[in-house]
Amino acid sequence: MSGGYSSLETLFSGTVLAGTSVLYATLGETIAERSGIINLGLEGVMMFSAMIAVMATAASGEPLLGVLAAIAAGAAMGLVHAFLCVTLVCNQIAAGLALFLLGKGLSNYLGAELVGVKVAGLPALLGIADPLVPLSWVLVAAAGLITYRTRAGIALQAAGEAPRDAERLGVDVRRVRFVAVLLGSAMAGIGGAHLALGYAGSWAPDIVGGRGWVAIAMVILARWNPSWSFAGAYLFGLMSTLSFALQARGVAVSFYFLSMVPYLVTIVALVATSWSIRKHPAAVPAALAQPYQRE
Amino acid sequence: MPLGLRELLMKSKRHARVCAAGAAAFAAACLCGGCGRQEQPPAGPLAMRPATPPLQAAAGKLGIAFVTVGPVSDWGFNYAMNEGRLFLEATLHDKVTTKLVENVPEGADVERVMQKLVNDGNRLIFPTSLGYLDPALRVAQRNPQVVFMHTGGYKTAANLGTFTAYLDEAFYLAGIVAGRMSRSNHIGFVGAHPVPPIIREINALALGVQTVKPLAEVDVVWTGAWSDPGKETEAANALLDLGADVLAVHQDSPIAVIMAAEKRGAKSIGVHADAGRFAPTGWLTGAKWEWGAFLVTITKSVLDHSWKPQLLRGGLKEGYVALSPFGSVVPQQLREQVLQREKDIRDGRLLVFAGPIVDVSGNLRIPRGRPASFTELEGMDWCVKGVFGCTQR
Repeated sequence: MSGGYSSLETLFSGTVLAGTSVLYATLGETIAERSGIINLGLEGVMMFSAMIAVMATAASGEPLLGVLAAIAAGAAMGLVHAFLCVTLVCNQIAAGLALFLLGKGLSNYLGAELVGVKVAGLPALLGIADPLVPLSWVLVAAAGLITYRTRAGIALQAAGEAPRDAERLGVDVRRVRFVAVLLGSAMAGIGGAHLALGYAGSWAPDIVGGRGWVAIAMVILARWNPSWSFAGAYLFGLMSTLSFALQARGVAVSFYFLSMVPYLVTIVALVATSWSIRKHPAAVPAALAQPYQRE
Repeated sequence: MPLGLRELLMKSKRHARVCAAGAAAFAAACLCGGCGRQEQPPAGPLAMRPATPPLQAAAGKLGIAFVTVGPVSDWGFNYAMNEGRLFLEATLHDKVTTKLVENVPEGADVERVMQKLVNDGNRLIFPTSLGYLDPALRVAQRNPQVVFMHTGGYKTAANLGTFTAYLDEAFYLAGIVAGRMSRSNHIGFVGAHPVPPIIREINALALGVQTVKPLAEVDVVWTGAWSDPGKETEAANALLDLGADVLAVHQDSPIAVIMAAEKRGAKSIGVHADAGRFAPTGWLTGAKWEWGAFLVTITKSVLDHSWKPQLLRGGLKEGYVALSPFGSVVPQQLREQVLQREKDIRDGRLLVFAGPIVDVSGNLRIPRGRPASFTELEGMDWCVKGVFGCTQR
């Protein structure tokens, strides 16, 4: 096996490319969960918006429109979840699983015509090959600032920690939760768009391949801190890039094991995090997944 | 305002009703979303439904049905199979009618769909995915009047045979093109699973490469999935990072790998069908199926009652596979050279797997002076010298 081509640079760019869709989803889910709503339908949201991104790009020939359509599609899925969980106060776990099945079914059904359709990739912006990558960094920084430094952020945290007390102090908890779910879902939509337009360059059934589920785990790894959402996402990106890089370099380990590594690391990270959460339980939004009805 | 106990109970009951209604609507939407496109699988058990009149039989034509695991628009395996079906219908239009059900998952669904196709009067059924074999055997046993031809299986029954073509000879020819066009002498291969047919293709590709570049290497990366564009892109990038400047692929759809190569200025070799439109600058050629001729042969044998359950195999010589059209970067001289080799294979003057062939560990696998046997070809689980990463499990 000849080496010499290996470099940290390609490993880094591979990590960022593979991790970006998970980063958007993780960030979005963090925002939703900080408000007290868990969205287990993330995988379905990403599938649906990836499909819409390809559909809109194919129809208009304009990938930027595809990204915007994916944001709208993500928000639309978020609207369904918010309606079920915030307005109707349904069980969040059941609603999330239904949302996953809806997104999966809808995207594979409507996307059947899109398989094998060639779409334009994301255009370079200001000399940056993949503009969704720096945008994700900007959003991570902004989400951190907003959550911890603004009134809106404090209201978001309060809605997820103690909705009744927050309500008494003048926070419209249902509105905050509704907006947080919508925003979070729209961000997962950008993740889906990146996967389809910026990464794989096409639509295929089940294109998301579990990244939505990984993102839900990565929220826990980041301990519900939006500023840390990149850690889990890029850890996943690094592991999946590394598993192929090692295989290509002839590392004598079963490729079935190597392809399991990203998911294995996810589990290990979860175990490690829950150990630390046991010592500092404050990291978990206290009212997460608990139905809230105004008194 | 705290509610009274009675109001609280009523409220929570109303709430439960609304949620239940919402969940039911949701479930209905999900079920519908998962349906196939051309053929709605029957909702209830088939025994409970009234018998459907056998339409095709009434018209005096042989009803033929295809079942595919994925969408036929994938520019891959399913696309090629549908092209074959269209060819079959065009060739024998006065004797047969055909239909195709796509996106049928391997498992209980396919058994139900095949039984429905039988009930509709179809008398020749092509279950075209590897995982359809056992369900097809069960449906075949229940319906002895129907002939089943499974793609690639290794078991037969009284009314079930299997057929497949091998792409290895076309990959050998593509290897000659890859070897000539590579500057780095690194050719990458993204494979789905280390199964004998794909290992055989990789070996053929490498042997083709070595006819023009004896020291070039073929590096293999497995994705562990028939279709996962994200992983395929990652695998392609890993090979390009390693210095490969030509990528070949065997996944359900070649699009992700071809586009990853194109994006980074590398050349590509396709599989299943001509996907040159996805890589206008880097496309070299590819190995593709020509199922049409195969399907016509099989159908004719059913029509004249000479059909027997057997493992039918074929390749370039029989016209069941072909080389995809060359990309614009392939020079004329090279095209002529490759086409000459193709003619040699068709005429039986050139054999891809003829001894001596040495594997990666230096063992002589096929001795000098004899071709590889049917068993050696069907069960190939070793890689030729010059291939890296091929059979690690």
